[in-house]
Amino acid sequence: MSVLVRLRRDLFDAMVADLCRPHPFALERVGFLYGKLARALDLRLVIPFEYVPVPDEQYLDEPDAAATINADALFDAHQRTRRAQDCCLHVHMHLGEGSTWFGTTDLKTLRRIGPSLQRMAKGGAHGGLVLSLSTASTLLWLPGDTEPSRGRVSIVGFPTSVDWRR
Amino acid sequence: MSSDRFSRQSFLGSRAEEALAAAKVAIVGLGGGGSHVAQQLAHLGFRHFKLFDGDLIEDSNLNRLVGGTELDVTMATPKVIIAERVIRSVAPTAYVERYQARWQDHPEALRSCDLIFGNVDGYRQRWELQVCSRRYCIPYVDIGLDVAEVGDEGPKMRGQVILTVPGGPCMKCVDFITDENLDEEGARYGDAGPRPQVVWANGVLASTAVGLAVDLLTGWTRSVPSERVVYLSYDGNTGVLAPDKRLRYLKSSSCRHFTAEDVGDRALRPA
Repeated sequence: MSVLVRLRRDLFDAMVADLCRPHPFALERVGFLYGKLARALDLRLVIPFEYVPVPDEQYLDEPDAAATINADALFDAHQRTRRAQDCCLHVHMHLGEGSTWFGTTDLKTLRRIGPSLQRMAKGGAHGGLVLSLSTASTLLWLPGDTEPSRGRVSIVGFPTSVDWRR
Repeated sequence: MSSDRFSRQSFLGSRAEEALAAAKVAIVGLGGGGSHVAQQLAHLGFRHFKLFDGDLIEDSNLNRLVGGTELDVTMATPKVIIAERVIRSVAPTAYVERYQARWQDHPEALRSCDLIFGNVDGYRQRWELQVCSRRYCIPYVDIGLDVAEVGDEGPKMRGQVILTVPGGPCMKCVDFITDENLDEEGARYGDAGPRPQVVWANGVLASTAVGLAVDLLTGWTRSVPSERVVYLSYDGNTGVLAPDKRLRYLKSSSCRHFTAEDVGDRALRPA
């Protein structure tokens, strides 16, 4: 079954604005996006409702990665996911317009984070979302799945961008 | 797809054809308003339709239902079949799902749509569509028309086109739906009553709604309403369609009636 993330444009704009902010030493920023999982006729919907940036002090100064967050940041995301039983997506951004996809390091990170979030809230969909300035892509672990699914992301607002990838 | 077919609407943008063809559109109500909407969307290049209407065509519908024929009345053809026929006459390969039922009987079908057109009677039905559109993060376009006799002044024809998007003001925020008019309708057991309808006014409102939807999906005008909602009022006596004056009193471009977390399937929680 396919997965569609329906992301409000105001939330997308807020994430872009946050992720574009320079960090004192990290080369990029990350955050976590929380949402609800819903059923539709032929797909699963993930409907995000809140974006939480990782605070400056929860980044590690590691020269090998554009951004590394510490255990507290992950702990906070896990705890919130466990408490609310929501979906949780790790969010970062690639500067530039148009479609984008996770890099090799991103995918390694996701393979750790996705299943661990899945253990916190088994009924949710968890994984990652990578933004460009105009669009987003996602990789998600659905309830019960051991492998992630590539989802579609529609951005809903003025204007609305329907992801037409099948 | 014929490369010439959409050459006259190329100003919509280089990716407009793909965007419109990919969007899954629900049309709820296929009478005077919805039948226009279905026809126009097919001409524009929309190719994914979910049609909801439980009714069969009647003689009193023929003054306005686009595509309806006398034979349909004789045969008591379902309105969804007439709409599908109109769509397929323009776009034979379109994906059309017909639901000859209330949308509430097939909520998961509605949720999978990228855009909802509501062409329904009464406030309660509109509000239910608005709630669904918010919970599942779907833009909602509402159209409606009414003719009222006020004293000796003669008939007054009024209508509206409202486009709401998740996060922006809803139909309660703009004061189109109020608790009072919901209560009043509820006291009549939800009966909105037979509404006077005419084809030209339905056409004006449906065309406007379709235009808003195309702009929403293509962004061709490159304008974003500062209020994050579009509410146009139609005066059918003068033929004027203009932003409703209630927008001036809108306090915020956010919604006061749905919180950000009011999304997804309602969870059943123990009391």
